[in-house]
Amino acid sequence: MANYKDTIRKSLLGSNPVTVLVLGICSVLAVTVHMKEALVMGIAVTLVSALSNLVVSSIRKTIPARIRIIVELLVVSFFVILADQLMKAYAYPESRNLSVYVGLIITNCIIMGRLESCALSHKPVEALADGFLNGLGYALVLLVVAFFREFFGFGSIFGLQIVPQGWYYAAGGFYENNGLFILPPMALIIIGYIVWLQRTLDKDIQE
Amino acid sequence: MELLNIFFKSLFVENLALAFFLGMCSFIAVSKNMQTARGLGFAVIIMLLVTIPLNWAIGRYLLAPGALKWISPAFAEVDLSFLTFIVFIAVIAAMTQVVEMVVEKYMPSLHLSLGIFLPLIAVNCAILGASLFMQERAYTGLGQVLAYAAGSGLGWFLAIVSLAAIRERLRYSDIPRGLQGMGITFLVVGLMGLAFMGFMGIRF
Amino acid sequence: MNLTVILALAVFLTLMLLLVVMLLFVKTSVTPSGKVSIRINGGYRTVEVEQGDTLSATLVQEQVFLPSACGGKGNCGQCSCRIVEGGGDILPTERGFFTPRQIADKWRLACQVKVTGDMSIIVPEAVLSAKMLTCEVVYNKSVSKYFKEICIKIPEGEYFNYHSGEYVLVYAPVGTVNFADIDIDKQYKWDWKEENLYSLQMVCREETSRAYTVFSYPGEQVVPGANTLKLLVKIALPPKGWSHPGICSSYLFSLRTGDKVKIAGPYGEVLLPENAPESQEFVYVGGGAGISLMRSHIFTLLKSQGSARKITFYYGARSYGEALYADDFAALARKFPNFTFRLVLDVPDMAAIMNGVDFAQGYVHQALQEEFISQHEAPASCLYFLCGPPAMVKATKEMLHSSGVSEESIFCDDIEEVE
Repeated sequence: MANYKDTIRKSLLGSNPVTVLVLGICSVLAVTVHMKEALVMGIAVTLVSALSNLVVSSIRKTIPARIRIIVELLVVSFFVILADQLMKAYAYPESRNLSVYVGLIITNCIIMGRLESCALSHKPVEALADGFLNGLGYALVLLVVAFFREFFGFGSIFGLQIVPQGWYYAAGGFYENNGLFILPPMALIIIGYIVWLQRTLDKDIQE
Repeated sequence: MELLNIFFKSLFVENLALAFFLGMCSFIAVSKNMQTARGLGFAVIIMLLVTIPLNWAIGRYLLAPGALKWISPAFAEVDLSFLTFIVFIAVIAAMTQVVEMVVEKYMPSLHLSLGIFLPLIAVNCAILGASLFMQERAYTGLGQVLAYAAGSGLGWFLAIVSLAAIRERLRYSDIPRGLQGMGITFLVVGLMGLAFMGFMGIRF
Repeated sequence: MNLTVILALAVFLTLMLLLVVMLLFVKTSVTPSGKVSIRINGGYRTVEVEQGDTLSATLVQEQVFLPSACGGKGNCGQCSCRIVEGGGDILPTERGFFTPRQIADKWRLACQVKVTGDMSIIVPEAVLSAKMLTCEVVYNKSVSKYFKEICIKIPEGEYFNYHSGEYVLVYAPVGTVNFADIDIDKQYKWDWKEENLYSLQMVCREETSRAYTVFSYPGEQVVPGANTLKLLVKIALPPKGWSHPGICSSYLFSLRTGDKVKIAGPYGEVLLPENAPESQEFVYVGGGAGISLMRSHIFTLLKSQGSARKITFYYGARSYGEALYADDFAALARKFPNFTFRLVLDVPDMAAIMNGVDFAQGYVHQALQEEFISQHEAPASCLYFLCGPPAMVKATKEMLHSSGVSEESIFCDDIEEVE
């Protein structure tokens, strides 16, 4: 962890878990319809990732090899249950919309992937930072995708109506929300474009 | 028939991969060629058929609100549903090991082709997600649950094999450098998802 | 305490317990256990063994040592044997090592076959007489910058009869070798310091075996009254794209007089053909660590057997400094009229010229072609033994083929640098 700025830039861009490492895709699609949900999910994943990394890294020397995956799963499940309960308490509407996908954080490849590649071989503090940064990278992508979907699909950002009501057909105007963006496949297509953009700009990650 | 409805619904309309985009990570990673795609698809079908009925039983008779009343009426108020995540994942992990061992012993040729995929499945969101969805939809009876499991598994298999077929063809297409690989794959899967939405509303 | 909490704990723990019990039950009922019998070489030996392990590991426990350079990973193909009964079907990982004819003859890689039932196998004769011994180091001296000659003594009362050209497996134990502790002769110490070799470290995580051709010739006396073996070891260094130095070569380099080293063998590779008539010429072409095979064969033929056969040796090296034992061979050529020695150096070498050493310049296969093949009346009637770096062996083989020499007359041993 010598160069912090570099590491941060890497986790958010060059080695972004979603667009470069292609991890954690499953949930991106369902939770990016509204930016508020995306934000809540992003925070949840960041916290779970950071804390799981911390715990697994602290006990890494005492885990028997055979049950390593099971131990990791149990640790992550614990934090996910915690996160789920917190969400139900403090952000109930979002938690209702996220439904099944909160539980799916457990199998979110980013978290498992970072546990396997980082937490098992680094000190707790480094693992914590790594989990946190990767969670942020994921949250960043979530927010970008959610922005496009909510803005074009609903005309709002974070629930705040941006497109003036007067513009809509119903009010005699010319604009109509693009229903396509609300559909789950659109999230994938948006990510596809983000990936295209990122790889065209950064030759290193082209295939 | 209700069972047939559930089967076809989970196969097409509520396709785990293309409607709910579950199991995407391995879906995208393993669909580079047909052989591996088939292997993973089969593994998913087997795991779903094994874990979903089991998880349904555990959910119904142990974890749901008031589920424990068959042990003693005093427990009728207890709600253990918060244990769902951890119990389901433990069951999935354990069953993955069991299936792996049984396949290795009784069908060694099958083990050679899909053995490596089984551990991958334990952390595949599709399996856990399917169980969680099953809970949400509150199926009644083992028959419905099995129809759901079979349909979902077959649907996922169909999806990954289709994607593999498309990707193999794409190798000969002229794709811009930045779009090659992951980029075009995402776009293709998105389009496949849009296509599958055409199945919405089908009833038998 | 809250009823929910108690019940939660109870249900959770019970479920976990049930899952674990089920897993264990399936494991014991599905994983085979119990003893099975393996018939070796048509009943020459039959052993009762536990199931579950690989055939090669199981046989090692019965003191049958199949050779292995890769430690059971299925990379070297040396542990091949025939499984005439049992063993299941050949795996895709094994197919690359056998011709279709061999597969039909049931050749398998012992390190890839799991023992799950009774079997009947056929192993090469040499394997049955192979032993595992713990020898003591007599000396371990540098003969050039990267080469050391190590002499080990066979324990009292043990026999170790090997044929010229056979090899042994050296077992490097778990542990760490710090290059700073390695004993290097004075004249090469400066080079080691210059190239920063003393800072290297080799960490061995599990016992690893590597093959080394026996450098000495059978009957060679080093220490009076003791049965000894000599090995020529080249240190395998990192710059070739690995992250750490060669496991066995580092281990061997670190040994000192009196240290113990575990070996197994002897295993046959490129042996002296038994039935070749005296009139048939032998041509040896090689270099690098391949010199072990050359020396063993040539010294056996000339010194032990007193053969009058015409022997030619084309020795290729990059420079005079790297041509180990060249002087020994030159001396041998002066003593035995039927032995011709030709040193071939890549580039004109000042040291060689200054020392008045006679050498040809260029690649060894080219020198062989110009000086020997083109001048010989029947090059296809000779037997050729090639042992050296893969590129050298390949080029020489191609040259020989295009000169009309058939595959049966060429014996190869290319020294692949294995980690």
